Amino acid sequence: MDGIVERLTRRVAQRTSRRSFLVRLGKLALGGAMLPLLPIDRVTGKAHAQGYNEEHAAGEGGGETSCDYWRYCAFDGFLCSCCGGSITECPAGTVASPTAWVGTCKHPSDGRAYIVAYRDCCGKAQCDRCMCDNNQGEMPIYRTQLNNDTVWCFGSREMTYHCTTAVILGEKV
Amino acid sequence: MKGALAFAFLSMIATGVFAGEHPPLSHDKFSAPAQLYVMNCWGCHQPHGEGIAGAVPRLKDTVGYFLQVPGGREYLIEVPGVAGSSLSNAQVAQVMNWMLSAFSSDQLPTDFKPYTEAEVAKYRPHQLNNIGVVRARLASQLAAQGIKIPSD
Repeated sequence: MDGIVERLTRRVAQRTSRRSFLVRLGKLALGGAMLPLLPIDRVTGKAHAQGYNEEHAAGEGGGETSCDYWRYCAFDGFLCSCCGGSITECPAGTVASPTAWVGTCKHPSDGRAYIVAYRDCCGKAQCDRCMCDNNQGEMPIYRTQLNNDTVWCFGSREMTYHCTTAVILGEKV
Repeated sequence: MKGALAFAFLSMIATGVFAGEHPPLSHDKFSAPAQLYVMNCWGCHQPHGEGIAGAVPRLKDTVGYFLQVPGGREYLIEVPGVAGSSLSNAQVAQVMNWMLSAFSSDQLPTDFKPYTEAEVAKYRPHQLNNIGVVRARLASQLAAQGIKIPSD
């Protein structure tokens, strides 16, 4: 028995290196760390494999490039986070519209409602990446100030819509 | 080995395994009437009522003037953004009184009386078919008193 174990150990030691062992261990550890990035709703723990569609193609799991991100509950348009900008900043070459549509979203962790301003970035052709169409609290088009289908570039010198940001204004009382 | 484990640990922190998602940084809370303004008017009239020249009427240092001429008190309730809003009459009175004092207290008449819910209910159903004509008339009345307001 000792002989068999010794031969086996020697063979493993001759054919593999400590470095490759560390590489494999590292891959295993990293793989484990990446598991939360899989398409799982962290709030409810519910998988979104069913109902997955093109609109939700980018970054499922609640990040700022995902339509499911809590701050986008009343978002209609292309995420600036996917278009070279960020959740609060317009991409280079566009201008932030002076007007904005205001909605309210509940934060999944603290359960509080926050007032969010959805501001369009204008001046370049539409981004066409990460299209999200969430309509919590939206009103029909004839209630313009509470409608998010409208291109909110008015008041800007540039009326071409590119993408939309989502900025927290404060906590709703 | 230690390096690999440390790297994996840092990766887990970076990917949110331990941290979860933090609540937003901003916990600013508005007073009730200010919140009505933020949620219903702020998006166009701007944070301090600055308006947008040529597109959205200015409230700051301006809106109070309308109460100095006949018809102006009604006009502020009849304008489409107010009359057509989803606010109740009580909320309209609340936010209007807040706007007047927050943005334009120096322009209010000395005998200013706050709007009441009943007053809003009385003025609100009246539609302004041509808001530009009404505003121009009020502006000319104010101009006769030496007060100049933006044309739109």
